[in-house]
Formats: sequence, structure tokens, C-alpha cells
Amino acid sequence: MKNLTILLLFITLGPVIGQVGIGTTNPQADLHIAGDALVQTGFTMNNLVTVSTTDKDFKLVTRVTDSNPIGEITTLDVDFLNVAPINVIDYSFTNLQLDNLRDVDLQYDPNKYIVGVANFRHVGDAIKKIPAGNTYSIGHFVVRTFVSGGTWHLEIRNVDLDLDADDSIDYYITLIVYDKSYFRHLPPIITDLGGSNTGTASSIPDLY
Amino acid sequence: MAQVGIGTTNARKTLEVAGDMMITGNMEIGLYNPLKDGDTSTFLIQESDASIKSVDVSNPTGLALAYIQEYYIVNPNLDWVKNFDTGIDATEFVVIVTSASYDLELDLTEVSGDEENFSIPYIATFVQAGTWRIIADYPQAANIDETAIGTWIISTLIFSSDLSKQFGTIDIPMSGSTSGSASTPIID
Repeated sequence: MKNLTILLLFITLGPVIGQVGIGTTNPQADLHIAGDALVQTGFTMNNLVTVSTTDKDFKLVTRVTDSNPIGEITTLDVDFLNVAPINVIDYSFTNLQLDNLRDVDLQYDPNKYIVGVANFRHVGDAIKKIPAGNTYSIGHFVVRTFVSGGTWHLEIRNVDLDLDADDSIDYYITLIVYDKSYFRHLPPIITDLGGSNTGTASSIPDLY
Repeated sequence: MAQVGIGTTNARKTLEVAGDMMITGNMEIGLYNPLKDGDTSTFLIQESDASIKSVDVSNPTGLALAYIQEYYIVNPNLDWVKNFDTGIDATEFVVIVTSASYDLELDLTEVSGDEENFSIPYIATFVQAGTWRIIADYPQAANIDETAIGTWIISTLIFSSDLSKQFGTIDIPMSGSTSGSASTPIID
């Protein structure tokens, strides 16, 4: 009852019956709060208008989980952030040892980020296949990121074959660094196909 | 002292509701602060029951904006994965391969003349019977040691259909030229 009394002290009826202002005598909506609002538990909006295809420059809405009180509503504006949910960084690697980029410490923290490699491009000489019985070996070429010693690392090379000593090759990649606040790195799904080229994954990732 | 508490005598903001709040009309917020470096944060989403919820990625079974899933496909037909069913529902998710690697040395097909071939590996996803599948191969090549058991490590990115659109396929005939132009942009 006491709370209700406090509320009634400060509500102001606007020109249209049913409009309430808090901190304003001129409410512009059914409830107009001229200040901040804090909702301790659930929040429901029955009429949340969706973004249309003609809307531009909209911002995603975020909720800060370490504000005081917890839960300040903010917008995600990547111009204010050093780290966005998705970060795209180009890398080039030159003056390699033959074709071998065996292990480069990218230094990203796997507790905070997932690092994927994309846009791989190689510029330079070809790695030659070598005779193997009645045919030729092409080795196997690996482009991958992996976690080692608490950071993300990169490997790009033909593991079995090497570039000729007087040849050279440069590598270009784009790293996509995902912030784990928004993206989830699921545990690997390991499936043995038993020598078949067709099969079903041992599990379906939990995406719900 | 223009602070109002509902369900509390100690309002910390202009309005504090010590309980739930429901708005059946529109809501406008005049001032949003931008998220700052160092803030820990989540996105907000609206559920079909109109409630506003946060995307808590630290919750192992909660929703994320997208998922990074690695598949270790062990012991396929030499290096050939023709149709690997991830079981992921194609109506609800999009699955794309971001990178992949195979772990064994390969040689070219031992048919006279074919040993001169070249091989470019491909790793891709496609939809069949309502689920996402993976295909991976070094065409015209296979494990040099046919008794060795190979493994493809395939990184995929999985988006919810709530966040992404599938535009289908755009065919661009190149008419024998090395450069060309797409007919219409898929996104304006």
C-alpha cells in the first residue's frame, strides 16, 4: 500500500486520460519515464516491431551483465569497441622456409575467441609432385588453425612435399576471430565411417 | 525526489519495478549507451511469447549467434567422403564449411595416363532429405598407403535461420570469358 501511495504521488495525468508521466508533467506515451527505468525480473513487449528491409543503420541491442545494477541495456556499435562479435583480419606470410608454415603462434586467447581461417590464397611457385610407384604423390596440403599451449596457432604447408629450394611461395589468409560472448565453440564430433564414403554423424550438435 | 518504486520503497532509478513489466504497445528508449570494451554482455532477443530474453552463450545448452562445429570424419573410403549426414535440420539452420584438412599423403590414380593429373580438394555442404550433409574429396587421388586410416577435420559454421537467409543458387554463364558480372546483387 505504501508503494502504491508513492506511485500515486508522482503520476501525472496527461491530456488524454490514461497517460502517466514519471518525472514529467507532459507524458508523450501511455507511460513516459523521464529518466532511467529498472525492471528487476521479466520483461515482455507484445508489440515489438520488426526491422524492415528498408531500415538502415540499425544497431543490435545488448545487455551488460556486469553493470550496477546489473542489466544495463546498451547498443552494439563496433566503432566504440576494439573487439566486435566478428573480427576479420588479413595476414600475409612471406619469406617462408620452402612451403612450410608449420606453427605460427597467433596469440589469440582460446578462452575468449574462436579463430577460423578463410580466404586462403597462395602466390608463387608450384610444389612439384614426386614419383610414387607407378604414379605420383601430391602429399597433403593443410591450412588450419589449432589451439596449442593456451593460444591459437596456424599451420599452412604441404606436410609431405616441399617446394624446390630455389622456388618461393607467399601465403595470404583472412582470420575470422569470433568473440565467445556471442559464438559457441562446440566440442568436436568424431565419427568413424568404417571405410565407407557414406554415413551419419555420431551425434547432432545441440543448437537449441 | 521524482523516483518511483513499484514493489519497492527504494527505487534506484526514475522508475524501478521490483517484478515483471509488460508493455502491450511500442516502447522507445531515448538514450542507449554504447557497449564499451571490457563490458561483458549478451544480446537480447524476443521469444514468440513476446518476452525479452538474453542470449547467454556461457550456458552450454543456450542459444548463440552462431556455432563453430568441428567434424572429425575418421576412416572414410580412402580420402572420399561422399555423403556424411550431420543430422542438422536444414529448415532451421545453415551449415557452411569454413576450412578443412586431411591428414594423409595422397597419390594420383594409378591408371595409365591419369598419373599426370592434378587434384584440387573440395569440401562442401549440401542439403539432402532435410538435413545438412558434407562432401569431401581429393578427386583423382587417394591415400598413398591404402591401409592407412585417414581423418578429415572439417570446421563448420552453423547459423540459425532466425539470423540468416538462404538465397539459393545464382548461375552465371561466363561465355568462355575469364571475367564477368553477376546479373543482380543478392543483397541491396
